[in-house]
Amino acid sequence: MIEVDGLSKRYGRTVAVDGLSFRVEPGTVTGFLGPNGAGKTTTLRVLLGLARPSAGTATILGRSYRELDEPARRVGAVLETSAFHPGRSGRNHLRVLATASGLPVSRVDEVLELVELTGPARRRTGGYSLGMRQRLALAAALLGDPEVLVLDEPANGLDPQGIRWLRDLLRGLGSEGRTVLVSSHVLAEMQQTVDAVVIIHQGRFVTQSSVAEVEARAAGGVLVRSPGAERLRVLLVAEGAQVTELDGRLQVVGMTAERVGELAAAHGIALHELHAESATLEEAFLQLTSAEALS
Amino acid sequence: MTRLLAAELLKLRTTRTALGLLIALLGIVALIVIASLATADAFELELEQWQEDLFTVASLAALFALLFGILAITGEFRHRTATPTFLATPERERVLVAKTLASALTGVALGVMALALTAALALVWVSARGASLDLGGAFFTDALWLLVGCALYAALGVAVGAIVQSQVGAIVGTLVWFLVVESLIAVISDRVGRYLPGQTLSALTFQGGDISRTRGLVVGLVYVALLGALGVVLTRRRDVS
Repeated sequence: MIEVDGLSKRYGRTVAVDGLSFRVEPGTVTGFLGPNGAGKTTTLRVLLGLARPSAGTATILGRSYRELDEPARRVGAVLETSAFHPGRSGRNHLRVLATASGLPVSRVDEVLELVELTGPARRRTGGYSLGMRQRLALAAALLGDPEVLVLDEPANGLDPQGIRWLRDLLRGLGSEGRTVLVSSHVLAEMQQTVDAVVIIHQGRFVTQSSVAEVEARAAGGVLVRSPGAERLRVLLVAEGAQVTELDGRLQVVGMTAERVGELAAAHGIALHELHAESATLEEAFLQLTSAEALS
Repeated sequence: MTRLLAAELLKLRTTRTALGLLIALLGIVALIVIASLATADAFELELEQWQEDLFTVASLAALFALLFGILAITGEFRHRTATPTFLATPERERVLVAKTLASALTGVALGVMALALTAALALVWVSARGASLDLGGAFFTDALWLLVGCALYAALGVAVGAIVQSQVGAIVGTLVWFLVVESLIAVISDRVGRYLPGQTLSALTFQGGDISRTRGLVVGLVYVALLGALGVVLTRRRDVS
């Protein structure tokens, strides 16, 4: 569906993308994550035929974007937020794109309704807020009713209601069987939206997996507070767990909270606190993209 | 290509750039024509040659056509609409061809408007003074050549804009080339100077050049083709940012 293979992009001596490979399966909503400057936008620009790769390939539906017939009907894209002529109205911007792609003008009003921008659409885009620009950019992406959507930071500039709206929209598009690749550097936006994530850092591939897997991998372990901490510690270590002392509590890695509790009960050790740390995607992400994780 | 041309024509109708250029052109033309008419004596007003010379000012339409061509393409880079444009049409050369055609049509329209305004003002003024406007067949030939010139100037503007990309750079560069570089070369070698783009295309306008109009058309088309081809090659190769 979307396939990036050994992709590199250099600007002079700066390496923006470095041997990146990943696949996005059809019918999934995939988060494309990485800190600012990780190479997300560059990757997407190459994928969409706007920039030439220095090495490797990036294809959508088995072809490079430039080789697609009627690309607007196959792939919709949101790239930068301000790519409108400030003197042209939002509706006319879409009319131009619909005309160039051979789409009926009736689609323009349909997508404007879909992104809830019908009211301001007849005003010049120069006066639009960032959120309105994002909606207009999304409307442009949806014009051709494409099966693949490539969205670069579509949540930028949206207020909390806007982000919720976007989340529902993306979920809806995903449930219709469309393939969505959506980039973001704000993890919280993505956690409830995407099925899977591709994480990159400094232009390199870090990991690709389901959201649940990433969370599990970064799980912080089990925290225990007990008056019999010393006895418990010996028992835990004997069972193969790694135990460290942390602010008068034990941090247990390599064992579930249930097993820690059972072990304590079996030996009559009282527990004052037993708590499994659940990592958020944010933590997982920070952990995965931290310097240690990469070295 | 039809729908790309339609899209380009829609682009120019949905911003105020083309309208602004048209108003500026007509304003300048009106000012100069009225000034000429007001300062002419009764004898001059009757003269066919003088009447025809009045239309020289309409040649300004060619300069505005050039400007429009430059703005049409560099505006896409300046406002970053090149991204949606090339997403909708990844074959960038087709976009450039459509834009060249749309700009050439706009150039012709600018020329027609400038000629029509001059004719209307002259007709009213000359009749009011009891004389008659006598434009011979030669005038209509000149007028048609001017329209051809407007189309070529606009096409040249798109080609230069595609090469340079920067709006200010393309406009300033073109003006410096036409006004400074060509004059300088013409001083050094007149034989070379007359075949430079500015001189060549000016042969098609009322101002005339040092070469025949047919030759001006042929050489002008060669310039448009060469610069257009360079513009296509560069536009295809460059990253859109």
